[in-house]
Amino acid sequence: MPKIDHVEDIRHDVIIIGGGGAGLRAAIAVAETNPSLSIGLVSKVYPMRSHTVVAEGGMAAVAKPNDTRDFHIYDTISGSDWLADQDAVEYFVDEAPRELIQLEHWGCPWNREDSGQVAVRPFGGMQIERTWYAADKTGFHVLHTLFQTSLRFQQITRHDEWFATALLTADGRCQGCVAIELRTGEIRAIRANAVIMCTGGGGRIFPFTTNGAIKTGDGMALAYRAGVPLKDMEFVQYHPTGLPGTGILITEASRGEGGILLNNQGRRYLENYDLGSPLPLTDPKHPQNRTMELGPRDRLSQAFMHEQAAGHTFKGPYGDYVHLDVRHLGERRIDARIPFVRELAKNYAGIDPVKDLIPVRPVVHYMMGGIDTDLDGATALPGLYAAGECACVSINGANRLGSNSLTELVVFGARAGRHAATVAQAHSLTDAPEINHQLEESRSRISDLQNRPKGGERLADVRDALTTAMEAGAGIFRDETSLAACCDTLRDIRKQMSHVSLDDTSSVYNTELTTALELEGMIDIAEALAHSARHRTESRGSHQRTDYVTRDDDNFLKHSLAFRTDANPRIEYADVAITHWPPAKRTYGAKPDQKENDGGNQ
Amino acid sequence: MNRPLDRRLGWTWWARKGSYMRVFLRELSAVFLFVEVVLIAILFHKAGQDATTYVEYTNFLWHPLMVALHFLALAFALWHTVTFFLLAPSALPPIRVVGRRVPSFIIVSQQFMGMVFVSLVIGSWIAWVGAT
Amino acid sequence: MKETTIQLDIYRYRPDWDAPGYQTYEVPYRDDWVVLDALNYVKDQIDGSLSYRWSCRMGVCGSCGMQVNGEPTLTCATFLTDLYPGPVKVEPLNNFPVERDLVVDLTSFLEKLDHVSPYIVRKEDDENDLTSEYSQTPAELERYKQFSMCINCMLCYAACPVVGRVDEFLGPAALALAQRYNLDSRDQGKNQRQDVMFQNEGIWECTFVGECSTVCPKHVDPAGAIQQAKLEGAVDYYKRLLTPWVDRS
Repeated sequence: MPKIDHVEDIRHDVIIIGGGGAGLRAAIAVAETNPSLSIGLVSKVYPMRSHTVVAEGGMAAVAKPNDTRDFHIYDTISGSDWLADQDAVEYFVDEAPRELIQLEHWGCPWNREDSGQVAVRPFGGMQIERTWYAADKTGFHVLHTLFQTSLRFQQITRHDEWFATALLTADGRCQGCVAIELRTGEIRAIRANAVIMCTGGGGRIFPFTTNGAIKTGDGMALAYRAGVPLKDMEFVQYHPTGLPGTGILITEASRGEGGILLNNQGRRYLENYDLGSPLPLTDPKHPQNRTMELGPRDRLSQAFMHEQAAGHTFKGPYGDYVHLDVRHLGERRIDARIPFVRELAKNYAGIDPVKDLIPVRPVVHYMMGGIDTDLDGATALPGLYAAGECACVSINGANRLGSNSLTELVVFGARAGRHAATVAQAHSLTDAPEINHQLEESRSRISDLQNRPKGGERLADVRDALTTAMEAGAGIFRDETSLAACCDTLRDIRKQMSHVSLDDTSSVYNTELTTALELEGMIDIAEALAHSARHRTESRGSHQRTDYVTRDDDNFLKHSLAFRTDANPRIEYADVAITHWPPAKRTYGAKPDQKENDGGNQ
Repeated sequence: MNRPLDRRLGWTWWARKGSYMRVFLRELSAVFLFVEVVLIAILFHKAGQDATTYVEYTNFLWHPLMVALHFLALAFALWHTVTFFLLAPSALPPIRVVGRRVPSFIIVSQQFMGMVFVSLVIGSWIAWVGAT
Repeated sequence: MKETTIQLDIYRYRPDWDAPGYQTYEVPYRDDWVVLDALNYVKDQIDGSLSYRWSCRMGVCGSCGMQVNGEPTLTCATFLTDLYPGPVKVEPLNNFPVERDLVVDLTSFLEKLDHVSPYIVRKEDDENDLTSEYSQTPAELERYKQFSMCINCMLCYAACPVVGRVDEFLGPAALALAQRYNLDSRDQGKNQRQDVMFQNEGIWECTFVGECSTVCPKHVDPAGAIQQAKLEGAVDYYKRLLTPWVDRS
């Protein structure tokens, strides 16, 4: 039984839910904006375990004289298949260099050129190299830099291993959250005048993913249940190179350094998919930006599916795969630039990439969609902000470019922090009876879950049903039949979930309870995803429909907004903000022609 | 209310595993070395006194049990020396010569060579003093 | 056809118990499974009440450290093939209080980390000048890079007998991180960090057992960091003694 303890609420001026790159950056931004504010960082894991830690390749920002803001903006907008909000992209690109220098000042060990300046590497979909990197463990270094820097700020109180279960709202504003202290099982209210959601994405609703256990979309579900719409949920990024079975990420940087993809005939098959022509490996211009293996992730993952249908992929115990070849880079370059890739391949694929080919396949990696926010990170619920993967501003639109996401964390984490700080100091906490009511409601919901009679459904079975349904119905290629089936199955899974019973009756560190709460949230966001996908009858970026194969700007140059109801999610639409880059054809394999405009054909 | 279970190490920690035991013996060697140093200090002191006292003492040092102690101390000294030499590369900040890091085996082998050299010098001197 | 299985003996503890116990589970033996996969199988299929930490399952988040057959290790990187035929004993990390089952209380580490000021300290007020990066050559990066690879998995604390005997000892990871910042050419906070490192519960408590470096999954070599700090500390002491008039702030 969870302990019902009538202990006082915890109170802060601002709370941040989620302690990853975005959350930590937001916390520091609040502290720097107004040092007198009390800040609570609420995270279900210790911050250094946050999923930011897994990111490998790098962070994009205009850094070198051969690069311009217009190039980065264009790459991002075309990469998004024109679904990104261009005002947001402009702000993002303009702020990015400052944020990355800030990280550097805070100690991030960026790789350097001999001159002492930061080094950059090429990355998918970018016409000029602009990806700053720290070997191939950029996310790890960024997270630890941010976490260790956050220790300087005494105003930041960490609530480590507190699991948020609901948002508290009163007087039309978000006023905090309800959370379980894992160590004791106590369920308490954490009050604040501004709440910043930085809980990451929800890749775990799919069976094969680079995402770790904690990526269950908790914050997205919390906001969704509080009436905030989830935007563009149908856009899910498959990273082209994950290890089969485990889904462990093999960074895009391996292609940035010159790695190539080969099918079962030993051919660089990407040349058949409108991604330009391959250069010989000895050519100094290889790898060419925005070409072949440095094309955007959605196109590369889709190419794999076509190769699979044509029988050109290898068959394995965990599904089909192709080969990533980095042998020509040589041991020295591999150990200097992508040492983690070598370690992962040896440990989890049993091969040494210096001598052998790495088996890879597309796996779910990132959610472009999330909590609908404006440029300040503000949501439709006053007092609630969101930043990072759990949010959708949107700068990534229908497909994200590699190395833009880590930058997004700090740019929008900082902005949301600054804005939340100014809003928090303008309000004071009220003692509304609705707050206590919501707290009690949360407590009874959880104790009901724990008190269900034994012998019901097992959590793992519900989770397996969910992930199977998502992969089958809303994978890389979708159609009306698969999506309709998915939506129906999800309704059944929701019923199944209400019959789940738990083995663990303890109140101390009950991870079965938190897994069950996570699973409820996963079902919520899966429904938002499936229904948004079903309503979007076009193909754009990572949302590819075999029954509607072209991009339809006339009807769908819009963001989907999924609102939670007691029945199916209600899907509405909002315009995309266009400033200076009218929709054009999305081309790769050659220098992009930024003047071309033929109405947006695939 | 929950009680996290306390799990500190007891005083027999050194018996837990081989690597702990080896470190414990390395540290224990200091005791034997200290004993030998004291015995040698007493030897010097006795050397400044009359011949009988000195000879009594050297006979004592030659007693079988004392000889066993000396060999034990030598064994411990060698153990300490070997472990110390092997650990030296970790204890030093990376030494760079012409831009490349000096590999560990050079640091280790140079120490051994140094020890052999010094032992030869001192051994020869003792032999020369003894002969003359 | 009976599937090959392997036996796991797992430490169980609930705070309302007086003493911990072990529970035996039989899990399928798969040659590409790690211990974490086996634990997940137990939790999913056999006993949902088993509590443990995990996340990335690729050896970089540091959550899943546990004692496997007596050695501290990351369960996401320990293969069942190396433990076959078993039985495999899984226990919570040594030297930390146990909250529940395989979950230990890490508060002491986080406090110790705080003590060593593990962040860049600048004397000049240029931290907010974001026009360009501080210059750092590849050679300067090399000096501290290895010590920056710590994933805070705590295997070193579990392996260190001093941590197990002396509560206040700052420990390998915290001291290695302190050294990481001391060696970073951009940092100007060495003095304040050394004040903490050179206390009794700092580097001098370490007796160079070296187990921390042996078990470190990321080859950080915290033992090396501490011994190098000791050397620096000793040299620094004599410098101050012999030339006290030199301004070292």
